[in-house]
Amino acid sequence: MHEHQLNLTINGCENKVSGDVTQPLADVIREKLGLTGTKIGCRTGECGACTVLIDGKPVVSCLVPAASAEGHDVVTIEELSQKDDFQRLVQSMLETGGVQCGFCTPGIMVTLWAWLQDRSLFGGDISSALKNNLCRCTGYQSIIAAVEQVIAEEGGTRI
Amino acid sequence: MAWLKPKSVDEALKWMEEYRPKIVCGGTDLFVDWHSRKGLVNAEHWLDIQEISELKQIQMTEEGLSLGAAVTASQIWQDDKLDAFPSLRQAARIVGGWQVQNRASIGGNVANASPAADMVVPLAAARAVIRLSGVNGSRSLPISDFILGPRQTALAPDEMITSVLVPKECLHVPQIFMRHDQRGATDISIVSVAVIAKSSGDQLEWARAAVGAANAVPVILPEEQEALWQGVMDEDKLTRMSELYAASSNPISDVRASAEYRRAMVKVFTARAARQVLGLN
Repeated sequence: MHEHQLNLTINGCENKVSGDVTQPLADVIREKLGLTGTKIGCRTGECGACTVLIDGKPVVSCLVPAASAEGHDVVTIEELSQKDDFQRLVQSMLETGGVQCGFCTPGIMVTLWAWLQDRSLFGGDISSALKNNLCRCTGYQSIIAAVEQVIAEEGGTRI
Repeated sequence: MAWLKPKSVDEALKWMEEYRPKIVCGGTDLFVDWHSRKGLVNAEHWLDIQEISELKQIQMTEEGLSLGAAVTASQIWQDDKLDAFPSLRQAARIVGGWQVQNRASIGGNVANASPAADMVVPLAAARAVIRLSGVNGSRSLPISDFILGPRQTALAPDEMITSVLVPKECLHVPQIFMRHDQRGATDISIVSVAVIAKSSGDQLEWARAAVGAANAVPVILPEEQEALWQGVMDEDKLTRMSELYAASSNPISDVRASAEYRRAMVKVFTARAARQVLGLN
């Protein structure tokens, strides 16, 4: 084994993590830091359950070698959940029934929150932003309704 | 094992000579299913080119549109300069999903040389030039001389892709990228096609097309056949052209589609894309 010391900034904290430079960031987050809000579904970058933000942009952390995240700002759902606008989205998801089995939900919440920061992306189309998040329960309608509700509550126009 | 993060191409080349590392950018191909595959990847050291700022530039130059090797798919679809080359923007929007697009690089898509690569198809249609830098100097290759087969390229062990150049005659002219897939999601193309055309009035001056996922390398026609994209294009002529692309394809059968179906779809999608570009709908 190639044991290395990696310095990772996760949720604003500096973490020293040992292990292989190529170990997936998703594993570091879950197993070494105990931040289990980030889920692992496919390990192939398709399902989006492991979505985190790197420098504000959503990425699938199963495909990110931990060493490549050094020097960047990694944010997981645990950090986002402290934010008021994230909690408004949570409330909305509860009201519209955007959560069923819940496994995809953390990844979806990270993607939704990131898109809400810049709603012009994908021509304003939230379903395009969700392409990399697989949900087998809801059929997405209730998730999209949750986002539309957040926007409507802010006084914006519905998509 | 070292994870090297050079800040310049010069530094990258120096470390390439010293460490003989494997080059990585976004990692969206290399690190798929990593726990199962890591034993198969022969890499002692890694050279992460994501932080080389000169490789992250999109520039309009005298020769055409230059895209640095580390430019990401989402950078491509968000950059106004891609107004000049919308077929690549369309391909960049369809690669994986948002999370993959935020990591996947154009240089990686070319270097990976997957027959089903999306961004490669408009580049092949445009006869893009791949610029390489190595320990012993720089060279440029047309993309058709660079991608040699499935996961095979002309990249020398001590070389890296620095940029991709889209020649200026393919900028600001009608064009399209179309993909046929099963779910319209993060799946992989069954057949894809890019068509770029220049017309004056109802006369087609020239067109260039490339087909992806239907052959070991992107399908482009030999010059004398491609020259048939000319004059007034009617349905008969379109059918003949699309048949030429189907005949030049040599698709595989796999979990996504049979070879026979793929070849049939080459014909359908080449004609459909050309009709859209030429306004024949």
